[in-house]
Amino acid sequence: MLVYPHTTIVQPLLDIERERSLPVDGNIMLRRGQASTPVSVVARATVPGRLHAIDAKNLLGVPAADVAKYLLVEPGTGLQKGTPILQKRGAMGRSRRISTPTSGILKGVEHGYVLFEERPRELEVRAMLTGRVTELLTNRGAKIQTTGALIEGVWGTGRDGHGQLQLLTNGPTGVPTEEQFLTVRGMIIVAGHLDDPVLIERAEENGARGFVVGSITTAVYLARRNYTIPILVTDGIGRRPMAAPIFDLLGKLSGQEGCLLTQTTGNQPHRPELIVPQSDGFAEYDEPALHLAALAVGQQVRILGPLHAGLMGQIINIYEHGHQSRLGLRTPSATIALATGRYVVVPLQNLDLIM
Amino acid sequence: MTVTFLAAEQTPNATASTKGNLQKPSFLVVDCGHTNTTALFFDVTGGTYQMLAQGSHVSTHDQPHYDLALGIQHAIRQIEDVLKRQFLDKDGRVIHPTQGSQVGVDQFLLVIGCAKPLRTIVAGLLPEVSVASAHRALAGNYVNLLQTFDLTNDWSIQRQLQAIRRYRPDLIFIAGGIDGGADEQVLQLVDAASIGVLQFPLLDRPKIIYAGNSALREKVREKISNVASLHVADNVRPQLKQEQVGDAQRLVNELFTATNLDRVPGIHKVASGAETPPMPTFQALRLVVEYLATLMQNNVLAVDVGSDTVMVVDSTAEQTRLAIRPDWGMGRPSYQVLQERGDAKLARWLPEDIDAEQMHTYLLNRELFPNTLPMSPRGLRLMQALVQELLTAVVESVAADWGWQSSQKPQPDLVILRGRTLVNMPRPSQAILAFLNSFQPVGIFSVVLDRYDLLPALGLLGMQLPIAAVQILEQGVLLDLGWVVAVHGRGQNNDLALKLTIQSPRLGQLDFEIPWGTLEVIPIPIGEEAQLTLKPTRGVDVGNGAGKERTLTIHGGRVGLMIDARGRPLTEVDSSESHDDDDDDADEKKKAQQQLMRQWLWDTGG
Repeated sequence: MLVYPHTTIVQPLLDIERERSLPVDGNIMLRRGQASTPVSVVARATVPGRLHAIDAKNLLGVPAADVAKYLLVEPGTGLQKGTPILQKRGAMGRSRRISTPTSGILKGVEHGYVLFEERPRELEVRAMLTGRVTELLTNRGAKIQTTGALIEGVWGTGRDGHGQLQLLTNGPTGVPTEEQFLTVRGMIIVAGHLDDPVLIERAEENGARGFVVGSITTAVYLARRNYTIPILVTDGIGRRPMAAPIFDLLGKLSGQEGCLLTQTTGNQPHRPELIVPQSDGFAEYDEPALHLAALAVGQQVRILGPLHAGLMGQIINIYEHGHQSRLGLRTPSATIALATGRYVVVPLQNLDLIM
Repeated sequence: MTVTFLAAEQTPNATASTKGNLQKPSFLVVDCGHTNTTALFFDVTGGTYQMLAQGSHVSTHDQPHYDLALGIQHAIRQIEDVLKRQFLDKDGRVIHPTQGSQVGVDQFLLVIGCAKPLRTIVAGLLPEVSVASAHRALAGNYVNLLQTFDLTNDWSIQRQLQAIRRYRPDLIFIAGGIDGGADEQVLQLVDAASIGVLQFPLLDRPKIIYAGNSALREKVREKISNVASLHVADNVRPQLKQEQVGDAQRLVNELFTATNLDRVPGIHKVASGAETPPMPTFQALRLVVEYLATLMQNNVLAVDVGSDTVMVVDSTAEQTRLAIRPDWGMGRPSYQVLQERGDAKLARWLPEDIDAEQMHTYLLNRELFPNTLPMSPRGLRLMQALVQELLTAVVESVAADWGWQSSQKPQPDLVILRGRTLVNMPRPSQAILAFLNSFQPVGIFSVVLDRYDLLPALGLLGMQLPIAAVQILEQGVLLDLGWVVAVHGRGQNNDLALKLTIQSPRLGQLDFEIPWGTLEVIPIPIGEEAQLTLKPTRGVDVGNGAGKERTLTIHGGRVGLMIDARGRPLTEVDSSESHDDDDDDADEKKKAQQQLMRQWLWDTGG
C-alpha cells in the first residue's frame, strides 16, 4: 500500500516556476521571454481609495432624490480636503455647506448619500526572482521561471523580499546576537532559532532584508504583525533545531542572492519558501513530482510531531497496518533510525519526507 | 425530514442505476474532509449491502497540490490494493458503471467537507429579534459570521462600509422589520450594503440576501439589483413572535453550494464523474442523523469534532437542529480556540500542570502540522483538554436556542461521536468522558463511535438507496461503546445516589451502590444483553422522574456501562483566573481540580 506523507522540498537545483501577480487587475510591465531580476516590476495597478458615504439627505434635510441638485461640483472631480461639495441656501441668506472629509474624488450620489473616494493608491508586484517570463497572466502578472535551490518552510510572515544569504550561527539551534547585526545591511540572515522579537527589530534597524530560521518562540510568533521584513521558519514553533539537510544546504548557499516568498496567497499559492537562483546547472527533478513521492524504507524523514520534533532519521520499517504506541493508539507507523543511533517508532502522520 | 430521506427512493436519482447492476448497484463514496479524504466501497454480498473496503489519504485540495482529485485517487487506490479490483482508469477517473466483476463501480458519489465557509456579515435591527432570527437562519449552514450590524451597536454607515471593505464577505444577510413594520431603518441597512459592495469589482461583489420586512422588497430591489446579486427570502421575522427561517436557510445553502463548494480546487474534475452533484458533509451528516432519529423514534445526538470544523446535530422525530463552527477544530484552528477561550479555560481540563508557554507552543505547532498525532502523554492530555473546551464552547453557543440551560440538559437516547480526535482516543472511555464533561447530558443513552468515518457517506448513500444505508448500519459499522446512565440532581459527595442491578446470562446478577460525585465503569462485553434496574434515591432522576425506579435492557460495548453520578451542572470544573492576592488559594484550587481530572480519568479507565 502506498503512503503519501507530508513532503518538504529541500533541493539545491530545481526548475522552479512561480506566479507573480496582483490581487486586482492592472497593467503588465514585462514581456513574455523577458529576463527578470528581483526588482523588476511585473505588474502595476491602481487600487481605489477608501469610500466615504456622506449622509447628505439628512445633513441638508432634503429628500434623497433631490440631493444631486445641491452638488457644487461634478462627479468625477478630484478635490482637496475641505473643499465644499454641497450647499443648500436657506432663509435669510443662511446656508448649509458640506465639505470633503479628505482629498479624493467625488464619485456621485446614491440613495441620498454623496460618495467620495479617497485618492487611489499604486500597487505593484515585483519579480523577486532572477529568471525569465514564461507566461503572461491576463491583467494580473506573469509566471517567472528560474533554476535554483528551493527550501520550503512551514511558516512565514506573509511578506516577500530578497537579499544576500548570511549564515550567522554555527549550529542548527544557534541564536544570533545583536552584535552580529551590525553588518547585515541588504542581507537575509540565516540562523537556527530566534527567541526574542527584539532581535528582529534590531535586524530591521540595521537594514537586514529578512530571516531564515529553524524555529521561533511563541513570543516571536505573536509579534508577527510588527515585522516589516519577511521571516521564513523551516521547522516550527518552540526550541526546535533546523533540520540538518536544510541547515547544510543553507550553509552552502551562504553568500548567494536569494529571495524569500512568504506571501502565500494568490491564485496558485505555495508554501513559504526560499529560492536561490543559480546561473548554471541542470535540474534533475520536476517540482510537482517531488510532492507526490510515496514513503519507502531507506528514505530520510523529519519528525514533525512533538517528541523528537525536527530530528532527522531514516525509515527502517513501515507498519502499514498499524503499530500500538505507548499511549495505546494503534496507527500506521514507521521505525526511524535517528542520527544518534537511537530507534523510534513514529506515526506516519508525524513524518515529513524531505525531498 | 423522514420524507427527505425516504422519498429519495421515488426520485430519478434513486433509480439512477440504469447502468451496471440495475437492482443492487455497487457504490463508491468519497468524503473529502479538510485534512483527510476517505473512500468507501459498498456492495452486496450474501444478499445484503456491506462496507467492503475503506481507504484514506491526506486531502489535496490545499497546498501544495490544489487538486482534490489527487487525494481521492490515492484513497481509491488503497481500496484497489485491498480488493484487487480496478476503480480508476489510466487517467485517474473513476470507471463506472461496472465492467465485469473486478472493474469499476456502478455509482460514484462525492461528499465534500473541505469547502471554505461562506464569509458573512449580518445586518439587522434588534439583536434579540431580527438579528437573532438571522443568526438562526445561518446557524445550520456552513457560514463564518464575520460581523453583525444592528441598532444597538449603532454603527455609522461609514463604519459599515469600512467593515465590508475589510472583511470582503461572500454574503451580506439583511434582516429586520416585521412585515409592514419598520422601513426607514431597514432601508438604511440596505443602503449601506448597496454602497458597500461598490468598493469591489463587479464580479467580486458579495451576494446579498434580503430576508426582512416583505413590504420593502420592491424598494430593496431598486436599490440593490443594479449593483449586486440580490436574493430575496421570506422575512425571517414576519411577526414579533413568529420566526420562519426555512426559506432563508435554503437560499444560504444554495449560495454556498453554487459558490464556495464550486470553488474547491479540482472539484470539477471529479464532480463530473459523480452520479449526483457533490453534497456538503454537514448536509449528509444531518440526513443520516435525521434518518436514525426517525427510524428509532428517539433523540439522536451526533458530535463531529473535525480538524477544521465542529458540528453538532440533535435530531428527534419532530425536529433536527444543526450547529456548525466552521472556524474551529482540532487542526489549524486549534491555536485560535486557545486564544478565544483563554488559557484558564483550557487548563481546567488538564490533570497536570502544563505551563502556558508549552501549551501555546504545542497548539501553534498543531496549527502548522494539523495531521500529526500526539506522541507523549502530555500532548494527549492537551488534545483531550482542547476537545473538551471546544465542545463546551459549542454547547454554550447553542444552549439558549436549544433549551440546554443549566436546569435542562441534553437528554439523548443515542450519541454518535465522530472525528479523528474522538475516534483515536487511546481508550474509548476517554471519548465518552470528553462528551460527558462538555455536554453534561442526563438520562440513559447508548454511545457509538463512527470509527470508519462513514456517516456522511451513508447520508448520501441513503439518498440514493435507503435500504443500502439501513443494511450497512445494521452490520455494526458504528462501534458500540456501551451505555451511560447520567444522573440528574445534586447530592453530598459519597452519599448514596442510586442502586443498580445488572442481570445477564454471562454476568449473572450484579448489584452496585453508586455514591454521589463518582464515575463508575462496569464492563459489559460486546454482544451481551443485560437487564438493568436502577433505583435512585429520593430526588434523583434517571429519566423516569425523581426517585422513580427504572428497568431497561441494554447491550454491552467496548466500554460497557458508565454511571455518571457527579450531578449537574459540573460545578467543579472552574475556569476562573487566579488573583495576585490569593495566589496560594488559587494554587490549591488548581491542584484540587487537577486531582479531580486525574480521578475522573482513572475512574473511566485511565
